[in-house]
Amino acid sequence: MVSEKIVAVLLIVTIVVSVLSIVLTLTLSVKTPVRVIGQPKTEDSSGAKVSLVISPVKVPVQPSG
Amino acid sequence: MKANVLLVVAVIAVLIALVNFSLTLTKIRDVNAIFTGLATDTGLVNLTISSEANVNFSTDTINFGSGRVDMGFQNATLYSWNTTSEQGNWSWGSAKYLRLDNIGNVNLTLNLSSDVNAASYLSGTNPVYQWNMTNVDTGACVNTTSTTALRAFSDVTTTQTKFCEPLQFGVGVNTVQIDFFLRVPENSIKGERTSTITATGTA
Repeated sequence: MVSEKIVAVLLIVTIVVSVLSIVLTLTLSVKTPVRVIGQPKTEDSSGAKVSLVISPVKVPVQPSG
Repeated sequence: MKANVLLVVAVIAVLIALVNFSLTLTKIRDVNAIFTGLATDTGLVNLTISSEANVNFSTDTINFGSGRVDMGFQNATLYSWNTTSEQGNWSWGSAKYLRLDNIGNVNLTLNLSSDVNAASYLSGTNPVYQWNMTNVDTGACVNTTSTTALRAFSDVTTTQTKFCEPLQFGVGVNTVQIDFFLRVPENSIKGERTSTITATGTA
C-alpha cells in the first residue's frame, strides 16, 4: 500500500518534470534568435509630375458691319 | 512484486526526466552565454549593414498652370525656373523645379525617364520638351561617363537616360535639381497635360 503511494507520487513528479521540460524546450526554441539576412536593395525609383493646361488661342472677335 | 517492479520503473522514469530537465537547463545557459556574454569573458558583437538604394523626389511637382500661346506667335516658351512664360500667359509661382535626393546608403547610377516625349506631350509643330540637371549639393552628381551633361538641356525621352554615375549619398552631397524647358506650339493639343518623370537609382 505504501509503495503504491510512492509510485503514484513518483509518477506525478515524472509527469510534472516532463511537462516542465517540454515547456522549457519550447520556450527555448521560441527565444532562440533567428538570424535574418536581408538582401541588399540595389534599385529604387521615385516619380514626379510636370503638368500644364493648354488653352485655345484667343481669337479676337471681328466687329460686325 | 508487481508493486516493486512498478516502483523501479517509476524511479527510472524520474531519473530520465531529471536528465532531460538538466540537459534543457544546460542548453539554456549556453544560449544565454552566447547572447549576453559574461563580465569576465570576452564577447563578440557582429553586425552587417546592408546597402540600400533609395531615391526620393523631395520636390515632386511642377505645375505650370493654365495658359495659352499669345495671339500672333507660333509658340510659347516656358522655363521652369521662371514664373511666367514667354509669348504665352502661363504663370506659376510655386515649385520651379524637381529635386531628387539619394536617401539610401550607397552611391547610385541615376537614370531618368518620362512617360511622354515632346510629340506626345505637346504635339503640334516643332514642340520642345527638354530637361537638364544641376547639382544642389556640390559634387552630388558625378557624371563623368554620363550621356547627358550637367546644366545642358536635352530632349525628354521615354527611355532611360543616364544622368549621374554616381549620384552620391550622404547629407550635403546627395541632392540634384531637374529643370524643364517647354515650347508649346500654337497648334498643340489643348487641355490638361501631365508628364510623369521617373527617377531610377541603381547601385
